[in-house]
Amino acid sequence: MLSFFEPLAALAPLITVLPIVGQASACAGLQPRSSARWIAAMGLTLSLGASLLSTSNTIGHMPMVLFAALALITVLVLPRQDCTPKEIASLLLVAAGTQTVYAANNEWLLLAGYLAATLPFFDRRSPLGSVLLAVSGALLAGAIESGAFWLLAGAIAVGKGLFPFQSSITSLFERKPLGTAALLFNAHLGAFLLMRLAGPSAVEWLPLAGTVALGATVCTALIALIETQPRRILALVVSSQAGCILAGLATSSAQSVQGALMQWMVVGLASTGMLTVYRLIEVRYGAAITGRDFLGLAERFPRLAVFFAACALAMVGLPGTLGFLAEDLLIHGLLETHSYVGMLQPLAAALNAVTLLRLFSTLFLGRRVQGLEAIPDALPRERWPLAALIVLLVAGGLVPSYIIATWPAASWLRPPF
Amino acid sequence: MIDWTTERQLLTALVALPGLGFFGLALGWLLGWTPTEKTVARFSASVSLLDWAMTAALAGLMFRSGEAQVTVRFGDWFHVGSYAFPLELMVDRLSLPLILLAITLAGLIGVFSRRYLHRDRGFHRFYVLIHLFTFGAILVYAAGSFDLLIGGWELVGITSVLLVSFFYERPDPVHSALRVFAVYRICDLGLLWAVYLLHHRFESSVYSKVLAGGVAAPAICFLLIWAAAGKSAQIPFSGWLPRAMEGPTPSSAIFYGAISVHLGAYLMLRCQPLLASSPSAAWVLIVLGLATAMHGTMVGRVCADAKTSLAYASLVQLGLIFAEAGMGWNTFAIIHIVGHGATRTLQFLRAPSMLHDHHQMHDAAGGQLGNYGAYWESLLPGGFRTWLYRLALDRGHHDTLLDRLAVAPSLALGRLLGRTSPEGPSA
Repeated sequence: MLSFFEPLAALAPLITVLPIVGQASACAGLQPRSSARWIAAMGLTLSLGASLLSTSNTIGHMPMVLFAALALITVLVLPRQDCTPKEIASLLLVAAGTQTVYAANNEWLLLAGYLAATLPFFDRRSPLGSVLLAVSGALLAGAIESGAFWLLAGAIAVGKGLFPFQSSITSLFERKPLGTAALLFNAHLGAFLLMRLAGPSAVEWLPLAGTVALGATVCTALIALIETQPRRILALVVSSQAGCILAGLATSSAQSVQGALMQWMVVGLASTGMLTVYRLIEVRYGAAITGRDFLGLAERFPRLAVFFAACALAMVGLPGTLGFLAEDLLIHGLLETHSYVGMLQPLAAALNAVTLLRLFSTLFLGRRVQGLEAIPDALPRERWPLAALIVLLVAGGLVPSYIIATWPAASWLRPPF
Repeated sequence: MIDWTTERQLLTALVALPGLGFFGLALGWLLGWTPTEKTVARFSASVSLLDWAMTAALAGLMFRSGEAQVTVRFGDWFHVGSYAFPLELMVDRLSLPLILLAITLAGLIGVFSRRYLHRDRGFHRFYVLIHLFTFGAILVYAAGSFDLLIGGWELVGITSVLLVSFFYERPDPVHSALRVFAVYRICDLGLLWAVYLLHHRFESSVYSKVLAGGVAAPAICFLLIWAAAGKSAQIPFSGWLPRAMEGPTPSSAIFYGAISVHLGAYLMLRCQPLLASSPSAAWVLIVLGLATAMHGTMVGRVCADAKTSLAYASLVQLGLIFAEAGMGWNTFAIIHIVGHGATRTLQFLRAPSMLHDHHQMHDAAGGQLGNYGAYWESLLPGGFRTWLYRLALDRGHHDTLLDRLAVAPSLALGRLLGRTSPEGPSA
């Protein structure tokens, strides 16, 4: 009986695409601007519902559910001035493309989804442009053999902003709309493609790629330590934490693969929370935030401060959240497979924790703020989705067996194609 | 299937209750609930009273039945491959007195703070954090495995940091909180790595398997000492303790006078079988403790404010407790922890009235209260005394050394790596 719902998994991207048609008409001035958010939210809710109802246990099922939830939360929390039809359309295109990648059952559909998801960010001057080309080349090369493997691995490093390619992620977060950029980042398309397409000869290179990723996470964390610009700090920390996903997936240990999958969820949920809160603050504060002085915004925005702190702490492994268990599994798995190099993962997490607390202090603490009395704290429209994020992070931390059962490492230990 | 005896039910409930109190207060506020001070204080007092009653009942039952320990095995929280996260609570004669101390002091601090923080904007926040702290501390004491201990350990750490920056309108508490957090996180790495190595060696992190006559490699013991030294402000990490005094006095009392700083000592006592198997680690612990005690007494004599003097006085006792743990004097160390925690909490809570108290004592002594504590120093040669004085004023140069040897090189490396991007670092 449940198999009746299976086709819904494939329908999810289509359901997401539908609102794009609405947005196209909105761009043409046929719809009022204020409705853009709600049309998108409707489409994304349908997409989330379809993903949840699907009983498909393919490799892309849980990423689909997670991504649909992240996209919906992003759309709901996005500040009003970011809800232009153009931006909402970009966001939905990223969502549709990503869901297509997750649901695809052949290389051509993967490529099409990947191109659609990255299209809003294509820029000849940006390193992301070369990422796009590299991934396309790797995919067109057919099965990922050793040569194409390193091409794709390099492209993933650029896409994820891992050292020494950190400028790709900092420029993405600095210059592009934050909500959509965060959504694309949290799709982890590179890691997904690598795990789906890596052929038998490429698998032998995975441990080396994992070691390189571990080293890169610490280097990225060290660079974040000296940054002052908030968007760059967020980009670097998120990138460093996401590097652990690559390192974990690249091992043959069930613990680190499971830890990486949990870290995928944590990075997705926590970074969505932090980045959306930061964007809300940017919009409310009005002036440019340099990060060199204390802003003391906790006095005016106490709930936003708590949401930000909770997400930041979950990301770096606060006990009682999913982050703690992800870190626990990653440490055990990575130390088992990489011995001494595996010790770098907790070091990177510790450095990132210090950086995030410094950022939190800069934004929310340090002085009594003047002149923001009339600006409200988290609105109900923002409060409920952000509270849902926290609940997901905490519930995942309290009942991890459910996540392990629904997103088991076993399905990721061998390439499915 | 768990055999739910009364003792086991009590143990589970007393651990869970402060956690539920935290969730109730925190989530309610996040969703828009703004309770009055009276409601918050009464809620906290009820939680503390109930928790205290359950702990006392558990102690009474254990005493009557003569049971040395009560264990609740919930099974594995989760397992992946060959790795499992055991969920096990345990109280014995080491942890029970400390749990009772933690709950008693947390309750008293709650009652005291109702007036002390009256009309403070952070009133609600303070109580939320005290609940979280109590939960974390009890989890450390009642954990039956090192994995679960890490959970409580980190919760206590983060609560401590959030309370140091309680008066966040001033930059100093914020800077101090960041420093405390950085020291905690770096020292916690020792615990994480040690627990991994314990897993690797014993294929478990449950006390009953690890500590039952197990022989640990010295590396594991050194990593555990590193973690304990950070939490209990032993040298060279002691610089964070005076900075932590930026928080409200009630939280300083319970964290740095009683519970939080003693967690490192508790870890050492808990790991006594491992330390006993590694004489070199035991010696390191003794030397570290005695050196910290010397450092504390020296610096404490030149401190100009009451809370910092008390912090260094705590450090002296902590150093001695570490030395006792290194020598294997467990019972003596437990009595020392309980006695020191209770006395120091009282001293911290009276710190704002210290001058008033001194004048009262002076009057009671008929104006005869003279200088004290200056005798032993006068026996030292003059030049050496001056050198010691300078050393004490800069708190043993520990912070300067850490900055030069660890912080500055890390930042320099970050800058160097940051140059690989076209735009370079913004700092």
